[in-house]
Amino acid sequence: MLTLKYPSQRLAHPFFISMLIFFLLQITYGLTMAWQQVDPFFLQGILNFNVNRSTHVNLAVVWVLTGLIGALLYMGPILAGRDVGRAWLTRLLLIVIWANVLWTAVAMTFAQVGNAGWAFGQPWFQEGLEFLEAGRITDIFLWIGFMIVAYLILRIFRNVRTWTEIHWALAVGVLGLVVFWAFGMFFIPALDLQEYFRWFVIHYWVEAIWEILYVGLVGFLLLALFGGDRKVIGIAVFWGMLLAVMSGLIGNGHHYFWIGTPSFWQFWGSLFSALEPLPIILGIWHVFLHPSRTGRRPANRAAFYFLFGSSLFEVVGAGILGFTQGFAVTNVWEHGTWITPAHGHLALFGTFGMLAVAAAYAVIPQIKGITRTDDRLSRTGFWLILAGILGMVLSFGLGGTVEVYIYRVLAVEWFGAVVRPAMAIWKVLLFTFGSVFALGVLAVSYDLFTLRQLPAGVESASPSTSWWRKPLTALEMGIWLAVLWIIGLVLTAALLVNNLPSVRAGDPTIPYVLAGIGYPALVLTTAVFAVRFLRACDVQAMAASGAQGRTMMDPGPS
Amino acid sequence: MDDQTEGRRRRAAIAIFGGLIVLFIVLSGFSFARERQRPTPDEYTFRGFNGVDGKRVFQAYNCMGCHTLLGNGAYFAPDLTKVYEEGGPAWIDAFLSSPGTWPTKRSFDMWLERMVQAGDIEPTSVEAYYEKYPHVLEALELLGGQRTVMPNLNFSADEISSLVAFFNYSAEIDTAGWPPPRLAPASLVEEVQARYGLRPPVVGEGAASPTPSGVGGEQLATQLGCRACHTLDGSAAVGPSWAGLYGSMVTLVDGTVLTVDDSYLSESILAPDAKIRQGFAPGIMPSFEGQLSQEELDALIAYLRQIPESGPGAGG
Repeated sequence: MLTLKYPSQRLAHPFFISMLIFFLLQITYGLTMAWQQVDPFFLQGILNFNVNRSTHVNLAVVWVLTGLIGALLYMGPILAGRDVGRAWLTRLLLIVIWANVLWTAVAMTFAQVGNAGWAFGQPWFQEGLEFLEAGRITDIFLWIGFMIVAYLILRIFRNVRTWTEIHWALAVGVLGLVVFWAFGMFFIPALDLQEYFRWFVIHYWVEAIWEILYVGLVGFLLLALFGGDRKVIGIAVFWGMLLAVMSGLIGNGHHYFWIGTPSFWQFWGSLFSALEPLPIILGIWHVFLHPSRTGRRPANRAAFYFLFGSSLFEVVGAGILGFTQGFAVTNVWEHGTWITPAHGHLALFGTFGMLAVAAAYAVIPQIKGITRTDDRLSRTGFWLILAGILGMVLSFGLGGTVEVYIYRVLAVEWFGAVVRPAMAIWKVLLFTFGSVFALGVLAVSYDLFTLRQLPAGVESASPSTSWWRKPLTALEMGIWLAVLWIIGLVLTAALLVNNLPSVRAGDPTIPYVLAGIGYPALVLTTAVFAVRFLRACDVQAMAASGAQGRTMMDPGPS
Repeated sequence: MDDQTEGRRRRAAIAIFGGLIVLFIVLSGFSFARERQRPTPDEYTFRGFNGVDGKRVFQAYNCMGCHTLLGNGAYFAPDLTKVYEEGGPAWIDAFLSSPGTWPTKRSFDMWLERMVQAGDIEPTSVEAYYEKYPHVLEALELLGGQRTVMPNLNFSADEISSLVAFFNYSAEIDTAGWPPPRLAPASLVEEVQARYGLRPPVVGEGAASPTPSGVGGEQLATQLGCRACHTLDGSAAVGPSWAGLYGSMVTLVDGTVLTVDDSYLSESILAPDAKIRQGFAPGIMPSFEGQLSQEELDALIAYLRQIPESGPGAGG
């Protein structure tokens, strides 16, 4: 089903290669920032923290998007049954993306001299708004890029007679990319109104529109990797999409608690934020259900590792950690502290980044015509990335817990003199785990750059099956998810208890104990669950496919 | 599964989603209704600049890339929403004008005096200002003269005035009780601060000393906040570096070349705009006329005289 059939599909390859280069660049900025957390004077005056931070978060969006566009360019023709054509437009799109990345990396440094490029009331070079730091020049050219994507995909879907839910998801997704981007292209003088619309881009453009594309792509990849019932996947894609937008529309209200908007948002935002995990749980359930129902080994193990990692991190990062801070009574404590990036990193990279890497692993072998490959390096990379990002969550979470106590509960105002040194050990830990993460990214990038056919007769490493041979049942899967969610409730409580009179009077014992148990338990359970799940899939697949041997390309149901 | 039931469910869910869109639009409409009388940035001005000017400066320097505002930003530096409420206009003005180090009590007194005379601020005396913003006294006592983490961004005077107006606006926003007020006893807060070495200096030893006579030139330079603008390592900051300054040849903006001696230094301290060196702007350094005794002036010059080309404790 994933087989290369149309010449235009080959154009996905440079997008995935570009994605990896941007990813490596992004973590370089990330590591620089992490070291500046430890030593705030490092590179001060040369590359200030805010420049690194802006480039880091903007690249995060761009590399994932470049990968998603690559996936769309490869999978669109399969879904449409025809070539994309217009190869010059696709090439232009890639040039636009590259030009924007290089220009934006330069323009961000203008913040050091306070040059936003104001003209006609708009900041053209860079605009210094969190997550929307790129200036109008970048905004407009990327906007044109999204229009190209929408045009290419909708043009080939035009003649498809019966649209499945996956067609709908991708079509709505590419259109949404164009529409919601526009909310970030105006200078708004009033802060409350500016924040209101800023979250239209961050919450709706990234979290809702990307989620719709995500659900469609995951559905497609599940069919491609395992085959199976299109109708079941269709139902899951539809409800995944609809639940995401239904809960997310007013769930966005959790960004409107303290920005000068009325306090009724505290009620509506909290209520709908509590519903936001529903589509996510549905998602991982299908990632579990599908392999177990079809009883097949993942046709492409590396791709499946990252696909599973994506849905697992979506549960933990977006679902659970997002849940803990979506209520006004917990958000009031964590808002503006390190607790937020604990959620942000795992949600954005974990959900979308892992999917983009999964798509690269699914597509690149097809384009290169590779049928069998050694997947050891990809798995080493996977586990390093998993350990790195979970360790970063632990550092942000525990560092954030100290910050909440010192900066919020005690309201110590001296940020550099007291708050910073109080968090020192967690800042060192953040850099350490960031480095582990970077090693994983290096391994995966090297692997994807150099992917080649494994000669016949050479065995790719077979998974150890010496322990945990038992297949994963629905009951056990349910228990794992329940345990993760119980830990999530402990972490929610760790924020909630700051409202207790004893804590407010200055005793941090209860939140420290709850967070001290909660964060390590969360990352350890997540890691062990990942080992268990992937091992079970390998074992189950072996039993199912028996002596058929391991091939990467499965003929599939099409 | 039954296709018809599924179809009916889907249509119902889409209808509910439509209802939610209506609800969201209604809530949004109420949020920005004129009746709420939200503060707007153009209502706040300082030295002829308003909050919108300030917001442009705030965005141009990407302040949110380190700080937070309304809790949103980078968590690398303190939240700025209420900084005006705590420190007032003079504090923001003085802090942003003295990159590198925190203003000292003595330099801030002078700063306040200037602003009071210029009619820039509402409290009409130095004492009244401290009374209105006690937070400032605490900051001067705890951190005055120490190095700040914030990089030197070389703000112009106009940019700083704009930022003051902007922070005046941001402090007026009703943040619905965020951040929560402190309920813990002050003694506990002091104890925690002391754990990280932040405690008021012993009287007579530190920057808060009220009688500076007899103090050495080096200490005086710290008390007056000179080092915020003048470095000891030869690098140019807001003002010329002091490294190897004495006896060196300098070029003024009008092209004259002269040798730095006692009388040049004395004039530059008491009437800074009389002779401006090439590459530096007039109107930045305050005059110390009437602020220093003759003894103090001599001590300061004696200190400047002996700073070598790559001075001791450079940058520290």
